[in-house]
Amino acid sequence: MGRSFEGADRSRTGTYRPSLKAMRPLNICALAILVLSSAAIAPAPVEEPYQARYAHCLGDLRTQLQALSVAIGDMKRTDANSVSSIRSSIHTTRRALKAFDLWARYLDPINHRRLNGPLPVEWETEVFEKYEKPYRREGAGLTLAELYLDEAGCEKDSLLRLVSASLTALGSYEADSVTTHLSTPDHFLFCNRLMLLNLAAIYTTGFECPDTTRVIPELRDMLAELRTSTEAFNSTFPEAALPRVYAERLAAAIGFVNAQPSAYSAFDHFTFIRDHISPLFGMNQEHIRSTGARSRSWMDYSLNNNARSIFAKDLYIGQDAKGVFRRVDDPNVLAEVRRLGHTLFMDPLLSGNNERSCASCHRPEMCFTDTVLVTPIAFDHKGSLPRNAPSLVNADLNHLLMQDGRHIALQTQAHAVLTAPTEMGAEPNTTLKKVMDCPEYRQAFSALLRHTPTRPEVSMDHLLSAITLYYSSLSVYASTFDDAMNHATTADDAVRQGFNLFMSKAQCATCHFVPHFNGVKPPYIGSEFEVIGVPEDLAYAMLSDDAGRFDVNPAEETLHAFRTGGLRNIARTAPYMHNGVFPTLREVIDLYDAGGGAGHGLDVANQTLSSYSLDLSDNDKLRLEAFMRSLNEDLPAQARLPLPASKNKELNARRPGGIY
Amino acid sequence: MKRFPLPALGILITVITLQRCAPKAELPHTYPANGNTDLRGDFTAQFQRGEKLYGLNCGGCHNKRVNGRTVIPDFSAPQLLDYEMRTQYPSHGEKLHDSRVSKEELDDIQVFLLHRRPSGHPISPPPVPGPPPKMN
Repeated sequence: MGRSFEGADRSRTGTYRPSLKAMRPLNICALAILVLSSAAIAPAPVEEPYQARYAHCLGDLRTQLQALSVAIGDMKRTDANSVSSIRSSIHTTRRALKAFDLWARYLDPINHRRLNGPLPVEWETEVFEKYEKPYRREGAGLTLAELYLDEAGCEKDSLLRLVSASLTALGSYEADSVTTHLSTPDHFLFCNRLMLLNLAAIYTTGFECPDTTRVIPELRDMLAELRTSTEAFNSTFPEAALPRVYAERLAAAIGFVNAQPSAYSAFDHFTFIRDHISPLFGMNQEHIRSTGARSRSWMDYSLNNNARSIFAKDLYIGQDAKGVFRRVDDPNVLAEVRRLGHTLFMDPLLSGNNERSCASCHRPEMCFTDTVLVTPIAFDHKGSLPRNAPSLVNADLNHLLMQDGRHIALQTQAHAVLTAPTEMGAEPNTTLKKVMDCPEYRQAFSALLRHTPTRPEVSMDHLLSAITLYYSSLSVYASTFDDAMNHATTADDAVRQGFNLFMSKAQCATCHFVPHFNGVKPPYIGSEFEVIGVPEDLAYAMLSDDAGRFDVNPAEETLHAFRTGGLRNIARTAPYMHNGVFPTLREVIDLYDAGGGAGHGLDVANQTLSSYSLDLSDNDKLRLEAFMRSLNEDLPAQARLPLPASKNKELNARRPGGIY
Repeated sequence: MKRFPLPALGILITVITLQRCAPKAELPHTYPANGNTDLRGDFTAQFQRGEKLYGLNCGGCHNKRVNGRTVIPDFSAPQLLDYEMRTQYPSHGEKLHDSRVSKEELDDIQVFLLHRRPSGHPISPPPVPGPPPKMN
């Protein structure tokens, strides 16, 4: 609904204004003396260390950006010497940016993209923009400037524009709406939480650092700057200071990184996250809870304050799985909703021909996907659907749904599949009637109505919410890798080495983000879409002609783009890619190793993946596979529930799960 | 002239008293002047959902007692912006989280609060965003 404020009251504040006429001259003189004397004895405002630190980092970044702009402006031509000098100036400026990133990314995430945007153009929706049409956002800043330096025909004016946009964006960090946060301690704990999460997920992967030889040196600088900022915070807000044990752990993290090799491929990402960043994150979370810190930003509304580590499955609040039952907290009622959802999930009554259920394509014994068929059979048995059925386990950790990101809510996604003529071919009113003609369903859903007072009658939304709650309840299980990260078990060397490759040389983690290894960038911002050039067949004869995201949001950048899938349980969910073209994980790794479709010689004009080879050895690939197998989660087997009898006797011959 | 029966008078007084005590069945609302008349039914349904949702999620803290009656205070449009409503008031962080009150439900509540007939009791004190509560 569009918001309309016609005829709305403006809030009135009853401010008391003393009338000057009523004041006697004597009183005015007395007042003047009072004001003058208080001004004389009032101390000059003292800037606390924390605010001074913020101002220093902001000022330093501005100075560096200005110097960089001047250097670019002074360039005579873009020869090798000039490019080298500008690159070096960019690196110096990046250091100032890294000191300020603690605040920049949190306090104004939109302007942060202009300081260090990872992509020239972004279209996609963020968590708080989910309900708006995606719009084109031009990136700017240091990463893009450095990448642009390498382009043939690099022009001074275009380079300058990327840096000028950063300088303009920096102004927002002086606005009252931003600096007001600095006067109280709460925001720091949320800035710090985001920083720690990104130290695990973004800063160590090269996501925003085009020169990968600089990833670890920058990490060293960033941690040292973080320590200084944390000390300034502790000094200004002693009542909210992080405990001594936190400072000791941060010092240990710095010691660890300083002792590690500088090449990010040789860096031990596994130990860095497990022994240092995740425990720091856990302590910061504990501090948020114990001090009752309150956030004023929607950046935090996707993160769960109760999550104890980066690898806790409940880190993100994720999708609304409860739907119409969202205000129900009673575990017994929720268990009943889940039971009904489970039964409906297996019930072919939901399809137009009573022969197909959700479980037809999302088979519980196959990790809620279909590992036999490349793509599901069409509803009318004539041919197959164009896309592979994804697993539903952890679907609620996605931001947008379907491989083209067509849906924003689990319930609307389920409704669309149910009513799609090629999938379940159902008509909603008929389906609801069929379900309510089963006395057991009618009785059970009617009993739940007292929990949905705004919906006095059983509706499709009740059925769909039960289904989404059912399958989302499978998203709580941990993998052996989570257990290793949380010190519950130890990880094999192959898994550790595989993870370290995943985070560095194999360049997987720049799209499959820690901790869920899906395309949802921490802290649950948007869904990333990528063009990687998936072929139509294993011989790479041609590019898959599926337009992907383009069908939803037509743009030059979205043709053949697909939402980055999650890697949890990936070893159980073959075949792979949107069209199920690859039967094993090895073929998927080979696609990336060769530089995507373009690296295989296909014409993919807008590929978002470098077409250069990753140069992975056979041993590297084996380790990557070992790591991915460790992402299998400890899923329980699903009970077989009987289907409720219908008043319509013909329907009682239906089989749980359907027949195709 | 027949005398007015005493029991009937008693019943009349009881009915009048009960009517005064009972909550109003439905709050009157004004349909926007430039609203599309085809959508009047949708608007009414949304208004009624909003009324229920307000009672479920908001009334507990915001309703006032005036002369022994429960009164819904008048909110102003700037107080009813999604983002600000969810983030600027500390307790709303949990109570109005998307997982408890969806975006659509928040819209329903806004329609109810913006178009109901004002009660004449402004929300007080106005919840002007102040600094977050002092930490322990």
